[in-house]
Amino acid sequence: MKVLLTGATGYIGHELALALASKGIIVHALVRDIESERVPKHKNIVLFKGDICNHESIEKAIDNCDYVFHTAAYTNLKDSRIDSFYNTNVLGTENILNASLKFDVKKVIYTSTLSVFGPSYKDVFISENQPRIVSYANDYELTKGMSEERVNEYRKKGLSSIILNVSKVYGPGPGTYSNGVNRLISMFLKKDVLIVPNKLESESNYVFIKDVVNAHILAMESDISNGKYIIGGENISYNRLFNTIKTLTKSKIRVVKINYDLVKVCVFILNLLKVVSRSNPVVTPKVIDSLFVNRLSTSEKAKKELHYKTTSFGVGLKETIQYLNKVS
Amino acid sequence: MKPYAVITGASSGLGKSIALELAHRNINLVLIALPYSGLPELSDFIRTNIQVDVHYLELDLSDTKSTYQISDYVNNKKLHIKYLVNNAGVLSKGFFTDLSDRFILSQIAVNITTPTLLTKLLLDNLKASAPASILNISSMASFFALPKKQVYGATKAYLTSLSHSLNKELKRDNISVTAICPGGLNTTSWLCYQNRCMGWLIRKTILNPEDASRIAVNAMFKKEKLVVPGVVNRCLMFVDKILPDFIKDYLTNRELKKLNVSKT
Repeated sequence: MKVLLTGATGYIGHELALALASKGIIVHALVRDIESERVPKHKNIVLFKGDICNHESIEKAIDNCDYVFHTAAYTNLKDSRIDSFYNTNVLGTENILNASLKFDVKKVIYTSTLSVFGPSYKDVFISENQPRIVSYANDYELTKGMSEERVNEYRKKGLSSIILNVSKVYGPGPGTYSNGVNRLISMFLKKDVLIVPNKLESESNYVFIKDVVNAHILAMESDISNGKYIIGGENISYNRLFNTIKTLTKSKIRVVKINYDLVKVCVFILNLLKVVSRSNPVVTPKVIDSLFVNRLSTSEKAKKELHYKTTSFGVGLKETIQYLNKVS
Repeated sequence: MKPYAVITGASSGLGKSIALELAHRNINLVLIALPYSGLPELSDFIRTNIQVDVHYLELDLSDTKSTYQISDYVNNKKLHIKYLVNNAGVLSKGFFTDLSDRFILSQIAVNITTPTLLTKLLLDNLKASAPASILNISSMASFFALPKKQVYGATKAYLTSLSHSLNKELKRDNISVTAICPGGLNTTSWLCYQNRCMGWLIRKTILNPEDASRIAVNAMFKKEKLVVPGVVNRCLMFVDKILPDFIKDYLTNRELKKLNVSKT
């Protein structure tokens, strides 16, 4: 069996490519830079130099593929322009869908994000039916929402697809922008002091990378031809997250809490200075806001319909720490 | 008994936000929107999490029959309507030359015929529940000459005018009529994207539905006649009164050129 995979140099894509390849599936990986150190290496992974924004390169890579895994996305929230988000996430997705329809692909598995649902309403777990209550908070959410609409349009044209709304991913694998928990663990391992906003009661959902990879494979193998599933793990507050990491890493780090609004003001001023010095901002007030809203969710539907299983947070975190200790 | 609000176009955008806003103020809902627009899910979500009674009807309001179906439903169920929110509207699509006659007729039906007729059909019910309120969602487009928004702007000018007159006429029945005239709103994802691509000043005029809905509902409760939400928008209204035409033409044309190819 052959599959096309986009985003092989991203976190989920990298791990998914290796998992599929080790199952004996031939993976056509569409990558922009085949020399990149993040390219997954396996005898069953065939590299195709190209870009989801380029039709011809997609058509070369998709030929003879049974399934398509579209994990590529532009996620850099620090980018203040919408162009890259729109071109990659919306137009790129449309190109993939278009080629999938043309080449009679059996099913497209589209990797999306839990954040298209927005924050949780009070402490109600986000489920697949939750209507979005507030407007899109940033260009990433907006363009991922738009690309899901495109996926739905192509369903009407006869292209089968499963959308996976993945929560915050952590676990072994290459460090990327989207892997915040791993960066946090590294900080606990290396630093003496960690300065954080004092909104540590806010809760998010964290999912182990191996569960996310399995969910993609289950979505491919399932008889269900069209669907949308939240792929998450446990709902955890920053307090619990920090304490668990601290205990497991035996870190002596001091966590210093600072008033949330003050942090935002400081970041704002810092970014003004960065504009003057013409360097890119490390974090923006908007990014902070998106990190500190409640995003509780449930994956009951995926568990029931896809037989999706989750790893407990403690077990997943231990494995992650072991991995990070090894690579550092 | 808890009163009901009828809201048209309630499945998304400003209508959805107004539904949530009223539910949070402990008002029961009768929601109207097109089929397959997520209305059952929204109704279910509000019923479960905000604990108000929610009825919904999936109807195409470009068909006059739908309006009668709404009033029949409300009367059969003996629901006391205290608030009517005429929110459903068809947005503009392009240059007049390019619009199909069918599109124009359905735009007029949804934007003019439906709110007029629905107000008429529910009037006795509103009178019985008085003091009652009508909230008409108009647009800033009702004040400006805008290419690509000709029919839309004209339908909204009608709605603003209708609101003004009815506000006078229905005072003796203790029914207030409020027209809200927002500028750009981040409603559909495509509009969010287009708004995002606009120049700095125009972007400052764009409101999120959750903010506009709070302003609109507050205005309705205060029985205000006309509200333009957003400080920048109100400044623009003022500037519009004092600027000469040729400068305004230049500015609107410049912004319209920034619009990408409009999606059909």
